[in-house]
Amino acid sequence: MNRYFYYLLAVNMVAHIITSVPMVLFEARKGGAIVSMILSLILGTIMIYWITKIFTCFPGKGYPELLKEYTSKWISFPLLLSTALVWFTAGLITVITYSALLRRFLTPEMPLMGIISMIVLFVSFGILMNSRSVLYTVEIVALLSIPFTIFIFIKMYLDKGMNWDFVREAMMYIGNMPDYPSFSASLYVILGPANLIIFNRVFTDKQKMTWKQLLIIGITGAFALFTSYFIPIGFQGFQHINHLVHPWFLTADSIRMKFGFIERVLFIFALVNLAVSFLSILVHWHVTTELLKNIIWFKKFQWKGYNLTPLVFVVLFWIGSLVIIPYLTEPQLHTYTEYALNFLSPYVLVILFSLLWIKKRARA
Amino acid sequence: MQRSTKATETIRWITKQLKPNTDFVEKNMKIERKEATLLFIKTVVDGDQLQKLVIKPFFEMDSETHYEAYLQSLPSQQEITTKEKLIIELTKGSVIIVIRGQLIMLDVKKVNTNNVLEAAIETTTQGPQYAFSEDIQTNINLVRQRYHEPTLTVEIFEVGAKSHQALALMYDRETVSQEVLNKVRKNLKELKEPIIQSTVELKRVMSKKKYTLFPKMMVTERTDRVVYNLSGGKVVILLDGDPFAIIAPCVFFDFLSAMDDNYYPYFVVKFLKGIRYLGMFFSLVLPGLYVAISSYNPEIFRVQLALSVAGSRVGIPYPSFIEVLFMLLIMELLIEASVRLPKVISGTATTVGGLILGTAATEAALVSNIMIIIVSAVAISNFAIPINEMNTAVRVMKFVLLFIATISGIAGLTLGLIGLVMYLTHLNSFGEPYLKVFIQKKANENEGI
Repeated sequence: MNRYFYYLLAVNMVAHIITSVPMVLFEARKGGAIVSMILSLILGTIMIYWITKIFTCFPGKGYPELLKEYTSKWISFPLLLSTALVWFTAGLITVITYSALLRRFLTPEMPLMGIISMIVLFVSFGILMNSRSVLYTVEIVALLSIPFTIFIFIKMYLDKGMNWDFVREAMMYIGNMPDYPSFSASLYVILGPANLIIFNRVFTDKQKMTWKQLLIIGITGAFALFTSYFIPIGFQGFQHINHLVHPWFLTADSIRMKFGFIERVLFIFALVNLAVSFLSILVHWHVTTELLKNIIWFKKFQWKGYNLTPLVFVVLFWIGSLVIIPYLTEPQLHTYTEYALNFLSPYVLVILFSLLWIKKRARA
Repeated sequence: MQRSTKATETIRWITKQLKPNTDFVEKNMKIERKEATLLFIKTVVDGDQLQKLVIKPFFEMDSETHYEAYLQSLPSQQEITTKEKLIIELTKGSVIIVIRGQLIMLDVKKVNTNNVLEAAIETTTQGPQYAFSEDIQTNINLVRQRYHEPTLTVEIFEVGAKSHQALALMYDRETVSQEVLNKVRKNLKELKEPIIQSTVELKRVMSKKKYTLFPKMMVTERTDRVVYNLSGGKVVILLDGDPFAIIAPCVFFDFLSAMDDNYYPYFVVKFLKGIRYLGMFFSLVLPGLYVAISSYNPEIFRVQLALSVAGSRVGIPYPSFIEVLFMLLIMELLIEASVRLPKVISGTATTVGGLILGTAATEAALVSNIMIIIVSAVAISNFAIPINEMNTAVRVMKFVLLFIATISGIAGLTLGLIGLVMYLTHLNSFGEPYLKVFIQKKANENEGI
């Protein structure tokens, strides 16, 4: 696969730590969290491998094009609509979570509406760009911010505050039966390449998906999951970690850079994560817009030769975020995110099966 | 003879058109059985050349036939197409000779602008020191002298509905992208401007879009840069009367490369490039960062630093963004003033400006000490950007980021920077993506997207 594939992978792997994914896992820490993580890692990797493999058979074609070509309108329309909804929700979760975080840690004086508008304003410009530019942006921002993330991770692993006894304690629960919420939450971590449903359009050359790629996905996924679960446990202890609202931010605030002119790592972590979360929103909502373009398109809605239909979607996004976010309290946000995650990650199975069917029809 | 009547008619038309000019000359030469008429504009032709090439041989040749054959063989002879063309060439410095009922046009232009200038804007420490001249012939000559490849092609166009300037389009036939070339050609043919005075203006009218900030074509005065880009397959445009060349297409990274980068050792170049990118980053971010840090999130810095920032602001009677805006505006005024002022006075401007930007403003408790450092750092790091146009774009862009930081703090600043990246990746220069990272080998880089 070309390198942009890995950026899509990396964005989800880093961006998930500010969403409710770690919290869902911590709730099941005395249940089957670890087993679910392992299971989802294996299954997720296989699913991603499979999806990507199918997309490599159709270079330059996205999911909507494939659906239109090989299925009837009655199947493609509901599928595209539900996919768009799922992707919109995935983006929305990140917007909500991050605006709550910003209000708590970085801009406490700013009204929530202001914070949301600020994020959505920049996102709206981004999602209207063509897919190529989105990928270039993802690449540049990821290249600038992922080294910082890795630096912070390494610093955390080596920090004195990291108590490996807690990790060992957590490891004791490895024998429990897996449970569904933590399974689907940890599945979300490696599902970044599912964005290929649109971005495969720009991968016009024949790509290769071999066991090497499989290995990369597996290893980085394992590292990301391990880090996002065990580091907060190592810092905050095992017993009551589920009471923390933002476990990762508090963990980042537990370490300091003795000689840096920014002493608290929290701020570097917050800004880097803001960048990566932004990418996550951008990617998800770009996919949503592109999917919606295939369902709804007003041919006559034009102004000076530009079709204004995508702007309608942007307005919908604005309304969606500005109405939903202030309405939610933080506990509600957490509960709904958990519901959404329960539903989101397995939705990839739907995509996988429809793709398998498409492949079968394409061969016939 | 029909030919002669047509020629007489043309002459009469030209004379009528140009008669009001006192410097227009119609001269009859006659000796024994030989006769010829010269038409030219005295102020634009080179008198010595005219005397040597045209007038003297006339009196030395045996017959009109000899003289005509002689004129036809001169290398400076020009092709005659239309009456209108004739008159335009006359105003540029050609002479028309009427002999045996036939018109012959020779180029005996007097050019006062062909001396090669020393590079003044993009200077290098070690490397070619001379830049272009203001004469297109000399400039083409300079390029050809440095690029001896038979595939180098020069196409001459004419731009300006009134100024009729010559414009040379140069490219290497083998490496140039045909798509870009066609776009440039089409672009040049569509120009409707009556007068184009400079290449920078040409660049602006070529880009068509009204609201632009970042340059998509590079304007350079360095011959080595032109040659380097020619060999890389880019298109170069030279305009008569301007010592700058346009290079197209150009992407973001081109504007941060200096020619020194090709001359120095590897690690030195990497270091210099790093400094330049850092300079651009500082000059974009520092003003906004100051506002964000001092007004929104002083807790980001370690306590001592936060205290010294806050301490230096003691006694300043307004919020930080006004302070920054005030100082930045003074700095921009200073830069603008030193560009516009005559060279004799510009020293005064810097001295006076230095006083304002220096201790006086701090002592008056109008701005903080740290603000002075930041403004100077912004100004200095801005000048580290080697190409002037990117320089000015960044100068404007920092105010946008300052505005975003003012309304939404450090988070807004981060988003603003990402927004800038998005805007840049969204642009394209003649179909080439404007901002895109190149990290793989060339063949792999173009694979896929």
